[in-house]
Amino acid sequence: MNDYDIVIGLEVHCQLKTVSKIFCGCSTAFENPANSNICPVCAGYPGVLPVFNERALSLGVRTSLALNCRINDKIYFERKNYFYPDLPKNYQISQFKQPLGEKGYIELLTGRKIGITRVHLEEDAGKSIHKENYSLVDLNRTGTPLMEIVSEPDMVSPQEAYEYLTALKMLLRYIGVSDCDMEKGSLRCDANISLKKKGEIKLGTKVELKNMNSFKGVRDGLNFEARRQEKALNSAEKIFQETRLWDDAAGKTVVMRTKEEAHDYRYFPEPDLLDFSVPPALIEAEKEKVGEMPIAKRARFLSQYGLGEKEADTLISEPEFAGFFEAACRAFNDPKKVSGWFLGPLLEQVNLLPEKFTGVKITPENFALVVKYFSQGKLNNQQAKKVLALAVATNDPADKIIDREGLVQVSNSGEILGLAQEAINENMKVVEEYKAGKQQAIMFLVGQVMKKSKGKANPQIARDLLEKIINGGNS
Amino acid sequence: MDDKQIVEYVAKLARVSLSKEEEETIAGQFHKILDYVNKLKEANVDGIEPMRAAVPERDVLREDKVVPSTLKEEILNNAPSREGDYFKVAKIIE
Amino acid sequence: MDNITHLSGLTLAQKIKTGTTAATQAFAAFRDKSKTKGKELNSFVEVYDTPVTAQGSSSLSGVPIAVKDNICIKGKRITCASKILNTHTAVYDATVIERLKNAGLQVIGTCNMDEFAFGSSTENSCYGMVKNPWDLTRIPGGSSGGSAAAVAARLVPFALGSDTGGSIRQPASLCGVVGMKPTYGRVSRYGLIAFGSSLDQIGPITTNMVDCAHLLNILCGEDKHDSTCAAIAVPDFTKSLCEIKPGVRIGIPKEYFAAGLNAQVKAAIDEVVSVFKSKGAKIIEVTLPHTEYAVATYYIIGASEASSNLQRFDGVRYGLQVKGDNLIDTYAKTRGEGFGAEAKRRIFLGTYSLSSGYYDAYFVRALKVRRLIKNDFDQAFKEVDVILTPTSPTAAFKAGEKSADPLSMYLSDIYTISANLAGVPAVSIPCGFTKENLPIGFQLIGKAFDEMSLINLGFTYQEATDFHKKMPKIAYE
Repeated sequence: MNDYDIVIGLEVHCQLKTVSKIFCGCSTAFENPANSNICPVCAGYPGVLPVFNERALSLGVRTSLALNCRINDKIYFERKNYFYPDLPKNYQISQFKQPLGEKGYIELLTGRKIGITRVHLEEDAGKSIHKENYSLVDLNRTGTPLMEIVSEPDMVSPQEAYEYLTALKMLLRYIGVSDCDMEKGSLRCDANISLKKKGEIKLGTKVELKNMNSFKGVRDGLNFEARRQEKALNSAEKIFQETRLWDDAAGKTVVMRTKEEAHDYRYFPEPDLLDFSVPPALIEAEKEKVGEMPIAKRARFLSQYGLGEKEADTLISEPEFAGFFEAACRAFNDPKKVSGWFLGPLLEQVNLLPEKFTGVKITPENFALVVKYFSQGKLNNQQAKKVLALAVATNDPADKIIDREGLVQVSNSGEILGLAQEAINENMKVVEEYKAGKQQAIMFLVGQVMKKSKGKANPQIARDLLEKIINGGNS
Repeated sequence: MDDKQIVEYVAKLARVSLSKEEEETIAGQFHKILDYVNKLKEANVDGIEPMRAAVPERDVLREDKVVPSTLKEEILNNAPSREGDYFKVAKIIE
Repeated sequence: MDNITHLSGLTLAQKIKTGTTAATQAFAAFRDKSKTKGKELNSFVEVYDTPVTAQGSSSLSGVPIAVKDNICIKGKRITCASKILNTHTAVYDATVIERLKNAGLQVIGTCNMDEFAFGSSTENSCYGMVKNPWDLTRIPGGSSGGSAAAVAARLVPFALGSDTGGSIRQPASLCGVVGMKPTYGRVSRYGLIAFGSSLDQIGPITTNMVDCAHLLNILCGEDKHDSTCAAIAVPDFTKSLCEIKPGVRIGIPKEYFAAGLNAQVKAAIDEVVSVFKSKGAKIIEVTLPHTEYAVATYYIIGASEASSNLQRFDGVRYGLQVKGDNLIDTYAKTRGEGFGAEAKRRIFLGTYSLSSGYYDAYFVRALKVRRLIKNDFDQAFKEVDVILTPTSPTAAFKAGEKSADPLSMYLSDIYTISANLAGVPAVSIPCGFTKENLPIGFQLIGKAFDEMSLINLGFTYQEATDFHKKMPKIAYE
């Protein structure tokens, strides 16, 4: 791509975390039997009227603030008219001329700023299943609140598009407005990509790309499309302004079949809804909920806790991680150790839980206590890990587990001495190897002491005693 | 666009099929009606804001609370074409 | 013994309350009359054997009422007189139906109408036209022609209609009954199958002002299902059922009395003015300068909103489905066969007005002229309390007379349309008969949310006259 600049813009739709739909009281919970979360309103029955969900407005405001948008103090909805079986009224209530937020930006982890053209609210459509020669329609999803976030065409590479999506997902999860799970469908992405000769100001013909089902798919699709367009331009072929679908299995983009005439959506203001004001009080309330953004948090973690970049990256990658970590540090002020035990043993346990971090019951304080005990030598490594394993899904207090399982580390030299002597006596060959210079051999003996002590011995003390006995025996 | 083209374009947008006779009749009537409503061009609307709503403005918001869906069967029963829990339609060509 | 069907709603309610008449007896009498006479007039789509009702009480408990075929009654077939909804069973009650039930009224059936409320003559129904009870060769007006005819013929004490450009008032005038369009936002539209979302209102059609006030009390009020329903307190409308105070200012807009107004209608209106003058009202000439644009403005806005509202009729979830070769063909065939000619015309006009390239020139411009028309009323209401006009430029015309020329049909709404555009309340009241014994009505237009003044003036007028007591021959049989 030496001769051309790539220009990419992304359009993201994400489902808002409300319990009810945007214009009616049906549940937004999915994975229910088809057409069970429907009512006359979202099923587009004759005579029904929409009533706006206040939480959708709040979450939309929160998002616009987090994306540094200018928020319109009055918003209204418009009808986007087109026929489709998963759109019961055959119009979608959306926003057109006056969206909720405009002219914002998002900062990526790389430090680059990508412009946000607009943020607006709309209702989701249903789902269809395509059979051989007919289709089936499920309206459960119809009416779920959606937020559409349109970026400026500021991204310069497919990789940057990937980074944008990563940053956007993290931000939206942070402020609690959406789960942004592409697999579950709570986040969808369409892309626009064009090429222009390096240095030229005029943009090239843009192609719309759809059907990418993962962040990687977005990157791969854009990579393919960029190369396709480069090839075409180099052979003086025309680039058509069209919509193409990413075929992940085949690894290429294809033109959408049955290219219908360009839709004339006949937007006009929704007459069944009045204007909505976005009062300063609402903006202030949502500003509080935005709180610290991931980028800022990361910088703070580096400076305040003296963490390494990789540690910081993982800790901020999920808002729950960061929150847990900081609460644990408040309970036990050793960020390095807390971070190490969080990122290692605790996350190991978390991965075993079916609900992952949502299944974590152990409190930061309880966790911090385990780290503290390890730090103080009350528990050894194995024991601390065992306590965590038992507490992660139950939050049984560390002290209770320690008592119940008899997990106190034995650090009394007298108790360990005997075991150390036994280990030596039973493993003379290993002792000889150690004396001969094989340093590692001592660890085997430490292991034997640990075994004999049923894991309770303080391994450091065991090692010291073993060395003392072996070396002492020489003197 | 002449009258016939307008009628064809609109029929497509509005998904309404017309017979040949209907097309001709509508084209003629449509022409007359359009001529009449073009009268509005004479009105002086400089500086006038469009009137979107006829009621006093106020924020009408709904609490985010689930209202149980109880009409699934009644709604599906009205469907002209149904397969199990789904509405059945002719194949959607994508 | 007085024919029970000749009693006013309130009188009947009082008889039911005192036990003189049983509610079931009342229902049976009206039901039977509706099934026979109703057939002659074709005023009903369906007459129920047993009423839709509930336990509830109000000043009108037990009184039967008919409902226009575009208001949803749960479990009942509601079709908007359209082939495309021929198999639609409503799955919920409109808010007004809930209110009627909670007030103890007995819903007797659904009234014939112009398909989807598009029309001024009730000749556009898939069930055939409704006949004017005063002259069976003439139309009853529209689109609530069935409701007005049923009330005029005393098949039912009162009925609900819907009014988007005059669809309650004009048929009321042509049938010699009272018909009111409340202020936009007074009555919930939830369950009213929408035509013009920013114009539609449900309202009462009655034989007299007293019933109108009582029924209005039951219908009005905030509704959490309808965002456009106002949160304004509902007064007790029956409190204004008394003589007007001298000095009430009545405006006569000069634009409504120009050429084209039938001489007999003009004469009747002049008489009305005399009556009010004799009661001490002050008559003041006002001007509503943008009246000439009202019909064009209304047709663009109404048709545009309707074209979008009617997109949901596609054969997927309810109603008629005509199978095509593929999905798009199915849509087109279903809607092509399911919609009548006038419905298609409105859909076309609306779709066109909203389409790219025409949106600003037609729809947006119409919204701006709408504001000019509203401003006219605001100005006029600085000088007067109510405005008095004819309801219709002529009395009932012959069936078929205007149906070949849609534009001439549209122009018959010329006096009623502005009130919908401005959102203000208006009522039509019987005020005489032509030489052919056809009813004439006058219209009172009030300030937003001032139905009280309309009722007050209407009541006063009806105390001084007896036009509203006259019944067509068919009511006696």
